[in-house]
Amino acid sequence: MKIDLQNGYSNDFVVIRVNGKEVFRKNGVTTKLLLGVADSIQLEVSDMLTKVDVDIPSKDLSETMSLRLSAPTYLGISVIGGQIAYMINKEPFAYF
Amino acid sequence: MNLENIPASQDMMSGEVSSETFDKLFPFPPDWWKCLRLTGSICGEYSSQQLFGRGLVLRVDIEPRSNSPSMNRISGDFYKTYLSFVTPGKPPKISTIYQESWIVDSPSIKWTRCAVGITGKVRFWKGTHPATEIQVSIPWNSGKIGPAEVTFLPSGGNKEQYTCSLTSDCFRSMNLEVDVCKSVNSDPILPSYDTYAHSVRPVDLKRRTLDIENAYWEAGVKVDIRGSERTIIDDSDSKFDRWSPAELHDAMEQHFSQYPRKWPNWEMWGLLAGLFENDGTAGIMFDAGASYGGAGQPPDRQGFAVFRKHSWFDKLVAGTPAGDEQADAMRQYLYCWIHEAGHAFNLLHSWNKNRSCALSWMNYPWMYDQNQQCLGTFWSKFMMRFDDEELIHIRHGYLLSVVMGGDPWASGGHFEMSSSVMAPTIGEMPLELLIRSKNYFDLMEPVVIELRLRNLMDIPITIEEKLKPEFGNTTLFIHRPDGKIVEFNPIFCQLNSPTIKALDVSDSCVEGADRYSDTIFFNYGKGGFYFDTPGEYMLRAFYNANGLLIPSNVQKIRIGSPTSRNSDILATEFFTYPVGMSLYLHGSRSPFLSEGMDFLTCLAETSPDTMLGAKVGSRIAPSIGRPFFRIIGNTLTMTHNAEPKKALQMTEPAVELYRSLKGTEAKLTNISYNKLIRGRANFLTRLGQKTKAKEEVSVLKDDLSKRGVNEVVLNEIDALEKTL
Repeated sequence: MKIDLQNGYSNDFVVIRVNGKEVFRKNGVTTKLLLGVADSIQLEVSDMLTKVDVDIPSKDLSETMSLRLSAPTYLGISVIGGQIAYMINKEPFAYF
Repeated sequence: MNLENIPASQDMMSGEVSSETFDKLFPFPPDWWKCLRLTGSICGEYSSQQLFGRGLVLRVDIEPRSNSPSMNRISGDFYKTYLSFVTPGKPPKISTIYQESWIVDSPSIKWTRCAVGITGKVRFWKGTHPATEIQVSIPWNSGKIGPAEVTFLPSGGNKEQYTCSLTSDCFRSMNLEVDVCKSVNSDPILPSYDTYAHSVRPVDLKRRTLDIENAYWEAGVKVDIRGSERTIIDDSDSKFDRWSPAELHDAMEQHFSQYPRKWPNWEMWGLLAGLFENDGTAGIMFDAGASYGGAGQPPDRQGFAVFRKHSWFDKLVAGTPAGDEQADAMRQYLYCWIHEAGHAFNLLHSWNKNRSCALSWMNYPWMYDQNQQCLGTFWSKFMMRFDDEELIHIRHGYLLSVVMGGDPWASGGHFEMSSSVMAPTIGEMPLELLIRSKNYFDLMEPVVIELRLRNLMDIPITIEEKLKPEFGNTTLFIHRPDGKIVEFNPIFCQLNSPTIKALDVSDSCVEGADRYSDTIFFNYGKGGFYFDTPGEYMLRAFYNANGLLIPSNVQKIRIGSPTSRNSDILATEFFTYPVGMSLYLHGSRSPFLSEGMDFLTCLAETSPDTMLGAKVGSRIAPSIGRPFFRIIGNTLTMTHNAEPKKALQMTEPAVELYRSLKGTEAKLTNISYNKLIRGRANFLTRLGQKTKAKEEVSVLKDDLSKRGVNEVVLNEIDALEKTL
């Protein structure tokens, strides 16, 4: 699975846990406006049912996503309108 | 045919018809034919043809283009053209300096059979203007369109009129230079897409073949792809596999043939490369600030890259695609090229403009498809165009926010105060004006810059030697950290007979004879202190004399913050009128400024080994080294004796400091060091110490010679030494 932190990040502190295990913790996460992406995490997930917890303490936001993975999954997480929004793609997200 | 106006004439009565009568009876071409617009749309670019003075480029956008709507706007740019008659017997050098842009958002349009009349309110993008109306009349006759007669009517001002000929069916034009990496140097290098190739498409999409040129022509930009010869960049090093923004920018600096030219410019560079450091990236306009994901330094928006090895282009084939997969690859390829070039025109992504459902080259198709607020799927709705707001920007936007190398990407930031401030130059300039200074100054440290004029002609040219704002031939603009742009206004205005200096040609046998420099102090003027706030400043100068207007480069400097609580307190005492005026006046013995002088003297004495202390001491020493007279009663009376010894003591730390500097910092203080020693030589001479004066001048000459100062300057110092 690949997780892309996409739009809406501006010098944010972001923590991501997958099935309870912390996979990402970083300060200063900022969306590159030229591409619409801030950061990426590539990880191996074996469970079909996967829980992804996203915390953005700098914006006082958090969200939990329950995903059913049947194939390589690409998860895009953005902050839109003051909320965490996500989208799932079967193919890698492309940026340009 | 109206026969009433045909006079009964002798020939008619005789049965014969004169040619004049025949023409009236049977006009040719017939009236209805005369007003046929055989050459199509009246839209495009019109230019006034003034040889010198103020000129106009007019853009008329009131009729649709093929596959692209009209934006129902007119806009334009003003330029000023200067002729420099510097080479006898040869045509003058033409320099065109951009002044400002304007737009009419809602023009009123009246069509008649043989002309169109356009009126409306002019909105200037920058600066302060009286309310201005515009009247444009564009006739057509016998297949020829124009010229456009344009009248500006400012409220309370004089009207301005221009006659503009149609010069293009596009609103802008640009050259695109394309280079290729060796690893991806195979066809197709550039995209070409039949809009019917893929089965998923809007039902009303017009069939045509789109490439970069056609797509941008529809948007209103004439793109010329430079030649067929490309640089093939060897990326075959086994240790290299992905590009970073910094490497892309470096490649552009090396391979973009237009890079060394003056910017802004309607030139763009595109690189077909292999892979980016993030393998999800299919293309990038890398020439923007690092915080946006770009390579860093301005000027921005000069180049972009497309990554051929991205998975999107795996199925890309040369020639006609067989099936939707191959068609999709070519469609994405075209999309990527147009999209990245769009960033170079300063376009953001659609969602960054709150238009996430925009059917535009600047959106992400997958983002549109995932957005439940957007109707249908992207490719089933996308008409292969920019959206209306983007077209308005590309066609009619403020020139510096569109042109490559103009405003930084995504900023909108630029010199706003006066339209002439940014003033990109077009054409050949006879002189180069350079601002040179160190990049960092401590807070309160006098900001002194060097202005250098250099002859770019192949014959000698004369300049006005007094390069100071006080004499009216030099203007300085300061872009402050708060974003405001101010013009430096000196306290004094000095009227002088010209001091003419000849600058030789660049390959003169005397090194440095083609240039002239002077330093400018502009910390304090009519606007008070100009550098009283820590932060980044940008400086630009203009030399205006002998019919020339020469803009300088833009020089960035940083003013530091107070380093301690004490220095913060000191700053509040420093930035006051008595201190500012004392500095401006090179010191003063006037009791009105005694508070300032006392402060500065103390500062110089207590901080002798700092640049602040050294510069302050040298700045005010002249007033101490000469007598001071005041009017007492009705008589001019000397109230202070000249104290050259004290002036020497005050400037001693500066001498030590300037001598101790090395490298670039030393070179940037050469002129100040030179002036300091000349001033000291004067004091020493008055004290009867000519030998010491001669010694100091000799040491100066040695120091400057070691620093690589030009022969012309060393000769002048030599001449001074001989007089001592």
